[in-house]
Parts: sequence; structure tokens; C-alpha cells
Amino acid sequence: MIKLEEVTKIYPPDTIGLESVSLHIEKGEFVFLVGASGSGKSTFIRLLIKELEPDRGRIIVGGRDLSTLRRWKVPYLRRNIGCVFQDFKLLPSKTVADNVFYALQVTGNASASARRKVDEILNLVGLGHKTNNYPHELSGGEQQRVSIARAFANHPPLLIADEPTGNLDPETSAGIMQLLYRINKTGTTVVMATHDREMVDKMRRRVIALEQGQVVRDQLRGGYGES
Amino acid sequence: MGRVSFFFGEAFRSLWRNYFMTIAAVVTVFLSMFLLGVVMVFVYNINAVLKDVEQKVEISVYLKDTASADDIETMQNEIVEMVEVKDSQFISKDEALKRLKEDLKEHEELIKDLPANPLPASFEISLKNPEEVALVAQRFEGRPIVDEVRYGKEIAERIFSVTSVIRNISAIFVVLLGAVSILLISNTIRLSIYARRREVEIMKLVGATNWFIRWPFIIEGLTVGLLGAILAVVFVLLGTDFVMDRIRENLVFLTVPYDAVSSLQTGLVLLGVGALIGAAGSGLGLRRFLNV
Repeated sequence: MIKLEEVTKIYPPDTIGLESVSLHIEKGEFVFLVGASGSGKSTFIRLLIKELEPDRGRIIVGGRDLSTLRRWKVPYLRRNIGCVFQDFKLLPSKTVADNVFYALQVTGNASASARRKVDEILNLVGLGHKTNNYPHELSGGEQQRVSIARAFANHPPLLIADEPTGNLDPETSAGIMQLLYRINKTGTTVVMATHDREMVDKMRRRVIALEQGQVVRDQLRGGYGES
Repeated sequence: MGRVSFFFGEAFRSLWRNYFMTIAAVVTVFLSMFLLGVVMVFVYNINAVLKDVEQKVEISVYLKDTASADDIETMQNEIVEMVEVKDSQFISKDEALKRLKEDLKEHEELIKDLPANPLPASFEISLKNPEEVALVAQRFEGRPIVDEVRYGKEIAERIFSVTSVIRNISAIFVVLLGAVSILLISNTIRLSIYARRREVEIMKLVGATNWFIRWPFIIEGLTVGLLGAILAVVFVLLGTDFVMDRIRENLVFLTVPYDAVSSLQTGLVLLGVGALIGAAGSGLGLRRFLNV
């Protein structure tokens, strides 16, 4: 699903984002990306959606080599990657349903069946009763569930989440994790950057630990801090 | 079809939601297009007046009394064949006297007792391009049957130098004002896009293509441009009507040739410029934020 070969990203003048990172993530995996702030987690994620370009190395996502992917094809790449962010990134001027619908509209699918699909997904994340609310009328946890619904609307093979629980209390976080877990069960690969120690320890999934842009640990059923 | 109506829906919703920005942009377009329109009407009328003045520059070729009818006819044919000549008229001695009498209607006693007609016969020649007056006049000088050629040399030259200066100044004015309008409008639009740059970023992350994001913005810009321009056209036309009426009432001697065609032209130019700047302004203003 994801393959990095000797990937290096340096922010000018000399801040290291990632340094010679090579790794392989299989289809259907659930991977935690852990590390302190500035360790390279966000750089990793932004490279995957081609929001950034690596200075060296090769990134392959879903069989596509990102370095040779034309600029105009980037939107098509992103439709196959659901993205969830710490700050939700919802369109403030659109209702909950329209936010999710937008992800379908960009693919050219604006049919009545797409509308029904939106309702289904929102029911699935437990927001069936708030479809016509605006994002600012929802709690943080609810907003994050909308953003997960949007990320999953196209049934992408890959879902990446950049600290999705970073702004949420532990109880709400657990609900979000539950949701990501269920999405992973449908066969979607999930990559989640986090520094939620408790969560990682509880889930016992593959953990990739980054430190100053380098992979310092890659453990199949790891915890946050163990080595 | 679904897509087109979606783009229009997005555009109008956003115009409505950001109504403060919308009003600011429409007013900016309105003010700059109004100014441009006023200057255009002004320039058009100055041009018309200048043309009128220039047309009055004519060549008068006065003939000797000894010229025979044959000589006169030969010359007349020659004049008609000149490419520069727009119109020519032969004024016989009798006609010249008759005109003089008409001109002096109230003082007829002045010429009542003339023993013979002292006025010469003449050709009055107007040209297609009045600036060639000196060139054409020269051709008649020194001919056996020609007594004198007059075209108000100095006046003509002065008129032409003044009119060309006025024309250049007004052309520069229109161009400058056009440039200022473009800057002002595209700046306002850029401001409203800047306020929504985060939305654009989100759209990109969800996988929207640039054109999918761009169309609603372009439609928005087009709408703002058209609204502002329509307002400007209405005000310019009402304004010129009002001003022209006052001028006609008070300055009867001025020929003010303002007409419907020029109003239509001004209106169309303003609408076109407004719509174009609006659409292009938002299309281009967006460019910076699409490179995510």
C-alpha cells in the first residue's frame, strides 16, 4: 500500500523533516506513527498526499510513484486517500451533510444515490440526527466524526489521520478510535499519527516511532514507549 | 448539467453569505466603471465637437472675373476627381451676392447701390481629412484663372494642434482609468478570496480539481462585475441625459451631438469590461491559493 525508499525531506535552510526513511505498510494494516512534536509525523503524512515533495527518495502509494505523478493528477490521488486532521478541516459554510457530500461531488458523483450514501455514512458515525447542522454547532468529537465520515465517503483504500484525537477528551477519543478501528475492519489501511500514549498501548497495533526524522522503532504489536 | 447548477449554486450561496464582501466588490466595480463611463462619454463628446470644428475648415478658391465657363468646368471636373475631396460647390458671382444679401439682411442699404457685382465666383471645397487642407490648397495657387486661395491657414493649423493634444490627453486618461479600475477591482476580489483561502485548501485536500474549485469563484466574480457595471451604466446614462438637457437649454450655440449609438457603445463597453475584470480577477486571484 505504502512504500518509502530512503526518503529525505529538509525544510530550508536545514531543518530535518525526514531523514532516509524506508518502510513498507501492507494493505489492510493499522499503523500508529508516534513521536514527539517535530519528529516528522506530519511531514510523513503530508508527503503521502503530495502536499510536500521529498528532496530525495521515492514514495509509492497504492502502486503510484508520487515523484512521477503529474500535478493535475494529484486530486485523483487524494480521492483515494481519506484524510482526517487534528483541526477537522470542515468547510464552515456547509452543513454536515454537505461537507460529506462535497467529497462525493468532487468525483463527479452528485446523484440521488450519493445523497443516500451520505445519510448512511452519517448514521454509521452516529450523526444521523445532525445532518443539517453547521460544523460550528457541533462539539469537537462530533466534528471529528463528520471529518471521518467525509474521509470514508469514497471508500478509499487508505485513510490517514494526523492526530485525530489531539483536541479531544479521552472518552471522545475512544469513540473516534472505535470508528477508525471499524473502518480498518472493512479493509481500509489506516495510518494514524498520534502522541496519545494510552491509546497506542491499548490497541496493540504496529507502531512506527520517529525521532528527529528517523525511524527509531518499528514494532508489529507495540506500545507507545516500549522498545 | 448537475455540475453547472452546482457551480452556480455555490457561487450565489457564497455571494449571499459573504454579503459584506459582495457589496464592497460591487461598489468598487460600480465606482470605477462609473468614472470610466463618465470619462468615455466626455471624450466621445469632445471628439464630436472637435470633428465638427475641424469640418469647418474649408478651402475657398476665388476665381478671376476673366475666367471662362469652359475653364470653370474643367476645374470643377478636376476637383471632383481629387481623392481627398469630400464635397465641393461652385458659387457663382450672382450666388455670392445673394448670400451676402442674406447675411446682411438688416443692413441691406449697405450694398443696395452697388454699380456692379464686386464679388468673385469661387469653389468651396471640404475635405475628407481636413488635416490635408494645406496640401490641397497648394494645388490651386498660381493658376491663371485663380485669383486667391484661402483656407484660414493659421486658424486651421492652430485648431489641429489643439485638437490633437486634447485627443491624446483624453486617450491617456481613459487608459489610466482603465488600469486603475482593473487594479482596484482585482484587489478587492483578491481580498475576498484571501478570506476564504482555508476553504480552498480544504477543497484541495478532499481531492477537488482546480477547475472544480475555480468555477464558482469565476461565476461569483462575473456576477459582481456585471452587477457593478449595470449600476454604472444606469447612472452614466441617466447622468448624461440630465447634463445634456441642461447644456442644450443653456448653450444653444454648441452643437452637442450625443446620440443613442454612443450610449449603447458606452454601456456595452462598461458591461464587457466589468464582467471580464470580475471573472478574470477572481480566476487569477485564486491561482496563488490553488498551489497546495
